[in-house]
Amino acid sequence: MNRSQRLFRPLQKLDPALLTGVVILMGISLAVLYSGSQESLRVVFAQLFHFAIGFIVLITIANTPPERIRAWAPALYGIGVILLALTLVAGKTSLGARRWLGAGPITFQPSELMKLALPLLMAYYYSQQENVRHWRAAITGLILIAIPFLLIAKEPDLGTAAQIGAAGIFMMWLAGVRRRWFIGLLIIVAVSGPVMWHFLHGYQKERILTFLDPQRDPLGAGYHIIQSMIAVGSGGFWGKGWFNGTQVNLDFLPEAQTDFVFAGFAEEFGLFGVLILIATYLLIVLRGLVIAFESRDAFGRLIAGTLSLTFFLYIFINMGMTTGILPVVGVPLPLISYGGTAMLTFMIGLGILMSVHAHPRTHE
Amino acid sequence: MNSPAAFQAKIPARALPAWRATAVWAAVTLAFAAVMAQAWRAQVEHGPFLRDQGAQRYLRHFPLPVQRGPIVDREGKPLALSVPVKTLWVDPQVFTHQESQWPLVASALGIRVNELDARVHAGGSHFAFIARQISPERAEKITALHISGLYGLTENRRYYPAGSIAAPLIGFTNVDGKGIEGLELAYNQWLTGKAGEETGLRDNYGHPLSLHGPARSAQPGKVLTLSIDRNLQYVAYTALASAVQRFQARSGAAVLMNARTGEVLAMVSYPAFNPNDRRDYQAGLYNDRAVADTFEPGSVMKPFTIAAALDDNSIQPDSTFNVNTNCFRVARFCIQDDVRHNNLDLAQVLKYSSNIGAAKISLRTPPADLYQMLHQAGFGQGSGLGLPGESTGMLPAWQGWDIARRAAMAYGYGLSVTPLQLAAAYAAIANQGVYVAPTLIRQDTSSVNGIRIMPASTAARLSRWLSGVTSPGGTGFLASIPGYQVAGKTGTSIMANGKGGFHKNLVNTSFVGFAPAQDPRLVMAVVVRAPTRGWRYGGVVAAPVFRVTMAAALQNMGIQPDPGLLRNTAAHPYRTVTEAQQWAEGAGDAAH
Repeated sequence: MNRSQRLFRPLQKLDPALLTGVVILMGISLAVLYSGSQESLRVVFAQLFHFAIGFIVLITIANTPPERIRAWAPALYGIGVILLALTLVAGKTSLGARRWLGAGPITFQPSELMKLALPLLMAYYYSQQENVRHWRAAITGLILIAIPFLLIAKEPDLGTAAQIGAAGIFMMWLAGVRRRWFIGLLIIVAVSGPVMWHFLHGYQKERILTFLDPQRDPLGAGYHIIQSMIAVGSGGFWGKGWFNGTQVNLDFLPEAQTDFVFAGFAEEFGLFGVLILIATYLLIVLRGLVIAFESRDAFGRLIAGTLSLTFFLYIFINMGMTTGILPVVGVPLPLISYGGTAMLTFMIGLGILMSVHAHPRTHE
Repeated sequence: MNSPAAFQAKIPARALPAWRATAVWAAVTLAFAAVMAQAWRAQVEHGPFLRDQGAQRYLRHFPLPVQRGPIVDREGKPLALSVPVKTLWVDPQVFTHQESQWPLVASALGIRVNELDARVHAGGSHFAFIARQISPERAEKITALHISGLYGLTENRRYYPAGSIAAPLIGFTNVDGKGIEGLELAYNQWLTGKAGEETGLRDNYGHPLSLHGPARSAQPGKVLTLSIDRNLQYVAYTALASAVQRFQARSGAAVLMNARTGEVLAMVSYPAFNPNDRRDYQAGLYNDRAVADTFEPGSVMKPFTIAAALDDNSIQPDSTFNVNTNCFRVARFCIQDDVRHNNLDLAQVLKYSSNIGAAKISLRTPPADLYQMLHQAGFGQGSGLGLPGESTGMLPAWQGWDIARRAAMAYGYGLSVTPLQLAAAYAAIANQGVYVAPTLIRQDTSSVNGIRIMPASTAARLSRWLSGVTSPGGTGFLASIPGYQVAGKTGTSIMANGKGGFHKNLVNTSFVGFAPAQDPRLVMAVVVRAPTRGWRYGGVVAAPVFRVTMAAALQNMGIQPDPGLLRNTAAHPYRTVTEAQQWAEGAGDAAH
């Protein structure tokens, strides 16, 4: 084995399909951010830096066998829960919610860690359960979900809590927990909905009402969604062209580089661009699911499937809220939105997928 | 593999039931399809609508300043002009971050910093005027400081070269260049032109960004060429102003017209204001009194009484009337002349302004005929000039006239008129019996359509008789102009007090006449309201205004004096105005 072979060996673990998707998304991300930031190279380089860090992590994880990743699961989950509890006690309050933990300049959201820790622990648990159809398997799963869910909902950050909860449910579905549990959950959610309404915070109710009728407060709560719809619609089929998006460049669209980056993209690149973007995401999600379903290893299948579905969920929620089919929830568009933390989480997730694919379990 | 032993112990990987996998595929596919459908709906179906919604937010229409048309006199001399000036405005949200620069700006504007602060906060959140309509040089000094958030824009300021001379007539514009009084208001649309428009982008904070260039170029307002002659306007104004001041009158108005075309050559009103500095302007105080003020005209109406009576043969041109009484009783009223005469023919009724004579003529005339004459001469109706605040006066329907009213109408009581109406009505006599509607716009045709209101022969007779008024011994001799035959009539009417009675001492004095009497070209009506000093008669107060203005107008029109008449001047028994007034008083017949 010569030097260059040694140097490139870690790259062999990378899945070409997933990698292609990520590279396309990176190109789109940099292009959109460059235009949306009034052509600020600073933003582009910062995002490029996020990608670089992400790639290093991705390659590292891809070269880590799933068994080792699996071994970290209980510890990660434990740390995550402790940090979440700590956040509630000593977190930084911003805009009425304690979501951040940190000292000095370094802050992070423990809920971000939980986005990976919960699926990992559940995959860890279910992969060694002999009989997932037993009620104990279902109850255990629900408890594992409930702990971080409640802690995050208490911050309050209902959006993230729901996403993490959804990831857990995906996991239970893929693990094979009995159907009746899902039906039961569905009934509980439906029945408790009206009751829950009274426990929602004002801004949460506002978001839901605004989703139902954006025009009820066009300059307040409805402002985001109206501006976003205008941006998306203004794109037409071919888009206004790179740098020609008025909604973004003239600062009408808030959060144009983070949560609403899709609107700016849709304005400049039109339905045509949206098709390409969705095709790219579909490539990643479907490839992830294929990896999951092809895996002959229970842990690998569960974690790969759940992460793929979670990835899909983020895409759907973000695009859905931007185009007005879902209420506004603060969710970044995977690998496109500006930001390092979310990027890292997604890259780790993709790394795990690649690891599962690159390390087929050999049965003796 | 170096995996943990515990892991290796378990798991034969169970296959996921096929239906669960299918459900997953279906969910993913459906969700993406929903996003696609929504994107299609927004971008293709509703695309144009949403694009338009966006444009409403980022496109801004900037008005291009438009030059208001000038108002000029018949010679093209300017009466109202727009000159470009600069206006400075700030975006308070930007400008407030430049507080260190404020003292500089304030001192350049000549105001205190707290005054500047007040102006910055007096406007909207993105726009506030800090100085309107200042000279371009001054604005340049401030914009040269290059303070962000401070902008300049070009506006037009209206300037009135004739000042107060024509102010009540011309009116003025407000600071936004919109006519709000006088001709500026009446012809606002003509003068305004069409504002141009520039479209540009703006960001969410209202900052204008790039300009797309003019979407619609501006169409400057049109020139309004008046029939007014600026020189004659000036002469009339100064003559009127000096009469009002000399006799300490309340106000005055005068109208000079071309008898043939109906063109108004001068329309003055006093007191007037300086339109270039309207700090003291008070609405109502500075109306165009030539069209806005009405009054009971008094004796100036007598020619129309005679014309109506002649027309229907109620009297003959050679009829005479015995006026030898101190009190001609009509119903419970006593009609009096100031000077007692014996028998008067029609010329003398006019010359001595006999109320008794006029009343007797009127009582012989069917009221409908007198009404018809007055109505056709334009009394009780709008002039058609379209000036704001114009009054129609009041001519009651003849059916309601009792015998006393019929008598009073003969010498100009019981109806109210405007100075303009008087001038236009006399112009009909001057124009061989044809009434021509007055106009303030220069007429370039010589053929003017009018309405005949009396036979030419009647008009000629009246002209001759009215010449007697300004001859020595007539009530209007102060209106005579050396070298010209002047026809006219004085009027002195006691002012109604608005409670059904009359003021004891307040009168309206008037003189209406035309010249030259043989071939009348110019008509003028002068009204001075409530003089309080001296001999308060139309022949004394108003006639000199007529004389001065008419003399200038005749010269201006190039009408040569008649050498034969010049010789007669020496026969006049007075040489100065003061002498004339003393003479008039001494003569005792200068009343009414």
